[in-house]
Amino acid sequence: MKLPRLKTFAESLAGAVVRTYLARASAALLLLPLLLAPCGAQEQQPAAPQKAQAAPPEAGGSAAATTRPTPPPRSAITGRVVGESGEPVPDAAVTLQPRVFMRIGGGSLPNAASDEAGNFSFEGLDPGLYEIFAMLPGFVVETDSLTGRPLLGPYRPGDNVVVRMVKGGVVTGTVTDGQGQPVAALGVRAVRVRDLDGSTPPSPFPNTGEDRTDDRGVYRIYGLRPGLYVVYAGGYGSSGFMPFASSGDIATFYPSGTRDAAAEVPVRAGQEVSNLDIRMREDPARQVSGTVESPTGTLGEFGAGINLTYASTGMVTGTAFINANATQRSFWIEGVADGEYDLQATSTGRDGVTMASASQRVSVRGADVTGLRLALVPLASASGSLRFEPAAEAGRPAPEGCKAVRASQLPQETLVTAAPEVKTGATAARVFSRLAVPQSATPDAAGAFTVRSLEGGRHRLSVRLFDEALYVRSIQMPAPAAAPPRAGAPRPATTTAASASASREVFDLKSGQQLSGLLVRVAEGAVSFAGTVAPPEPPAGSTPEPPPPFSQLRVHLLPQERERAEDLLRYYEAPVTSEGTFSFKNLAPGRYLVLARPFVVEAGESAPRPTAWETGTRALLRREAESANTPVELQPCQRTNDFVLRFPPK
Amino acid sequence: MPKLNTPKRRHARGALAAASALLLALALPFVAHAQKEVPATVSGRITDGERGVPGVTVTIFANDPAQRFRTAARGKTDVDGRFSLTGIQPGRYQILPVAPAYVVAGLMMNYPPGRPLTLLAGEEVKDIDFQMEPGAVITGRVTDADGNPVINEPVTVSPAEQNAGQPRFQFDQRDHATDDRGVYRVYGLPPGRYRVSVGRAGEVGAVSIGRRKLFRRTFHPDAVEQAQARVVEVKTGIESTDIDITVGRALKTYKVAGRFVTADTGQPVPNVSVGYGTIDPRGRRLGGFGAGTVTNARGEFQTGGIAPGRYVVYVMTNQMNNPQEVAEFYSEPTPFEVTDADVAGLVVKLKRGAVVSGVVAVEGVADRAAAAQMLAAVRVHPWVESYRENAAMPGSPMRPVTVGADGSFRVTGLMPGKLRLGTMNDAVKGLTLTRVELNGANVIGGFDVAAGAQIAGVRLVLTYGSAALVGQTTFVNGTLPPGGRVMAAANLTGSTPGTRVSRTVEVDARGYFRIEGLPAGEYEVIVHVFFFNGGPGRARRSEPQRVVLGDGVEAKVAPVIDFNK
Repeated sequence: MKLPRLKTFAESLAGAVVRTYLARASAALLLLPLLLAPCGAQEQQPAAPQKAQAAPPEAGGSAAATTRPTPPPRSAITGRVVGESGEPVPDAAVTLQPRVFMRIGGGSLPNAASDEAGNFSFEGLDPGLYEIFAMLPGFVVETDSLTGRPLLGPYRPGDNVVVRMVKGGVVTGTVTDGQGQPVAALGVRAVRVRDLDGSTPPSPFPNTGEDRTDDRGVYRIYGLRPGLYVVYAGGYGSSGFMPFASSGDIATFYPSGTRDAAAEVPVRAGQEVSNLDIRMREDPARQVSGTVESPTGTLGEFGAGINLTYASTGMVTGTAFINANATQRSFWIEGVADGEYDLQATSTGRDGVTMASASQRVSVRGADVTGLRLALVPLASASGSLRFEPAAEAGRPAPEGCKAVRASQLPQETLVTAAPEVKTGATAARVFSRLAVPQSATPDAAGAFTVRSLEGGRHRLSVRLFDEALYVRSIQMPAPAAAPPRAGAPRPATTTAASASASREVFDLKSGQQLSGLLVRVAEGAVSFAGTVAPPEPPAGSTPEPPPPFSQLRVHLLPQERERAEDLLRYYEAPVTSEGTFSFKNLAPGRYLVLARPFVVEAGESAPRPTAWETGTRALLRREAESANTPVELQPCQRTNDFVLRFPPK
Repeated sequence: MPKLNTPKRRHARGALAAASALLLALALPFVAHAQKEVPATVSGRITDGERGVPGVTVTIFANDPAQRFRTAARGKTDVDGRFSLTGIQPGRYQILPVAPAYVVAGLMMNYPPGRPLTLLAGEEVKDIDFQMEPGAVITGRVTDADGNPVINEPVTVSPAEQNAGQPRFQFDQRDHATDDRGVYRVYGLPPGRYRVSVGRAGEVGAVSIGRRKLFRRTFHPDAVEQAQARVVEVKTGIESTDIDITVGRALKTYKVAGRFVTADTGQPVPNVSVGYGTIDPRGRRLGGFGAGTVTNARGEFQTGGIAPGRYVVYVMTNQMNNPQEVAEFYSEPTPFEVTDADVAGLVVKLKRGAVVSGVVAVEGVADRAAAAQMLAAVRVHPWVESYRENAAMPGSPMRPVTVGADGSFRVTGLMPGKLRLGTMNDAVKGLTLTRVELNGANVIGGFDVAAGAQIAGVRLVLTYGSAALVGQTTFVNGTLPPGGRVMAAANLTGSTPGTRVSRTVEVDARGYFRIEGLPAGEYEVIVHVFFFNGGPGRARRSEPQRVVLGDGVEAKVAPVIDFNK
């Protein structure tokens, strides 16, 4: 994230405001996206509350890299910023942000600067889940060395955090025009499109670094997080003179072509990748224009944004914005090259994205595309309640160390996520929607939650817990539509053990539906299960097999009982580290089959999804697990950390 | 659909045609460019004084905020420096050669940038020429006291002399910041003498909002006093290297904490944006800014990263993310000073502001439905003059308010002072605020609003006009000196005090101008030539010309600027 660029963007607009009275209106239009975050005229807050960037992975298990030597006061998150060899880093800017989007205007994001010893602290925090962003120009927070994914977070009050900062990557090169002359003051962007291992990050709003060419056509983008990058010059927003946010130059991707012909450049921490020279293609630029319509006649308080994305990759190629009280709801996006795109409008209110248009395919072929109509419709939501079941109450013994540490803060420290069901293999034909991403919520103190900004369609509810003593016992859907339940009303107390086990975490939403009555039951007595994957013991006298490439494996736990074969809450999977270790937390007690198997990322698939989600792969998983036949019985509150799992099995 | 050269409608001149255009406009007031006229073409040449400069992008964009400076045409110069742009609808534009590494003669810091160009239907405009020379370059490295690079720190290059001529348009308005090696490179500079500095904290306080490092302003090579700065002299197209700067340690900053309460009941005010302003040594207020801080549920705020200095803290009442009810209040800024410790316990009191309400009326439109539709596009802008006159007052403009279907409007949270009301709209052409009435009497230049007053009975009269004025200015006994700007003003004559129609537009390089959407009446038209910052020439004006405009009529005027007068 190169925020200072944003800062000066706001600044130059602010300067423009003074010059012309009438220009104020249009400048305000451009400023509005920035105002989503509490924003000063001089500098921009590190990240918008929606937090498009740097979403941590949701991959299985809770990979907490948190250390807790001496617990600080409950309401504080403290920490230390250190350098590559552990030396203290003073003067780093540290920002605390709720993990889940909060209502806009619900307080400011606390920030701090690390002191001489690298220490920082945030005090007086409400219970909840938080992310920490540390910024130091030219540096990035250390990421996983194999993938470049973030290692840390989220955090809870009481945590003590060590943030390690390493030198960011650099890409540099020269931009020339068709005649080979340098192009000055042209925007060049490096967009992180994949993790280093080739998998697509869960967020479609990737990290971007940006610079402008100098008079020699030279650009230098630094402070990049490790990953695979595409680099392009020109395109939307690349012209140097604001407020002309849209420039007419079409984007040219390194080395010299379209998005589809772009090279994906690996960038590692501290590495400088040079000679990424770009020769601008001189194809004509088109405009895509139209109007946005709202069913209520009004837009959300924060206006409407229009995104034009490459149909092939979902990467944004142009944006436009309409002010909330604009009477003329027309938009246009300049600098569009011929090609296939998807276009979608969203409208943001205080509760986040509250309305969206259907995403539509736009073909640009040798001419401007005009007269498009984007009709906003209200988005759906899913609400319900989280019910906490103490071990004693559930009629089971409550051994020491088996109880939740802070039951009173449990709801606020739980992450409830609704992920849209995506048909695999159909990626290419799918129209990209910027809302087709998992949306999360944290329940309030009473356990009530609402997941917002959902499009119609099938969703899957998942629950992430941050206390080792807890597991998800069941997820129940409201009764069928015949008798719609009242908002927030839990299911009748007659729920039996049998119906509790028939948990269904999949639900269908109609467009704009406000579904209520979801019930999540969380119980104490969770199991932790960790160990290592090892090659089979070689017969005496023979040379040992070379170890398998552990990082491409995943470990699965499946319910051993066949009658629970469809209970997805009893399927767990965890990645294997390069050292061969794996770790599960928050498991339901019971009998399982353990299986290690290679993890295959389907081409074009974003956000690796649990293998068990698909009926076909779930059956395959069961066949393989039954064949490998490594059963375990996990007692309530059991803590296993030395399990040795053989791969390949026998 | 491509932009066609086939006209759908000939350029209308007669009253009848204009009247039909009016009907069209009323039927589709929200559709921009509903009709296409015969497009114009523009050509010219870009030279370095002798030879043509190839490969320079030339852009023509709408000089109309409602159009958000939309690009109308764009192209590049050929090997001989010539360009030709076609298919441009008649209208008011700016033309700009995009040559950031060059100094373009006559291109000043006006807004929007470029040269004005008024195009008539079907025109073929030739000889729109520009001359430019390669700019100078200043480059160097910024390091701290330990020799480490100072990364992403903006570098300021400012003229060493006060009267170094007019500020030149900068293509890249973002800062020239140092990279990860501490290296910066500022290019496209006109020849001259410059001071180069980094850091922004000096004799005035500074707030590090993103908690970035804050450096004392330091000039090349290592001077904190401007008088000790080494001046860099640059020549056309020459690169000055090793203009290095060594800065001291990042400044120690402090935390400021306090709370917002209502003045009358002392209730805490949560979820409101906190604004700060700096005070210079003479006690003058130097602008205001948010710090990204919002009060919590108890009305408390805390902002870190504040360097020693004098400040005020106040409520940013015009922030979109404030709760609705905050619009009823204003605050007087609370002063404080940071020396060598955190500041706590500041109290900012929110006072219930005055309320001014009334109606907006549209004259000159017979159809009530059409008038109501126009009103939906209108916003009322309040402006209290005490904001400007009292240095300690927040400088934030107030938020515009919308107008109800019946024309009613209500402005709240006004601080005492002289209130001026304006209107604007982004959809309907030809609406002019012709008078402001208070209890039936015309208001001239605003009216006083006492603390907490409730003033009803304001009437804002908008007059719809469909007349147009096309002018062609002639320059005699000389040519327009570089840097000179020409404006044309049309004022309705014979108005009663407090009633006025006055419109000003920029005259293009050919002397053309066009003023649209004027109410019918007799106008006095004057063309002015003037210079910013005491430029090279003397201000001049044409003899006033009188012209009578009827509804839907386009009239022509031909003002003369005589450089001998």
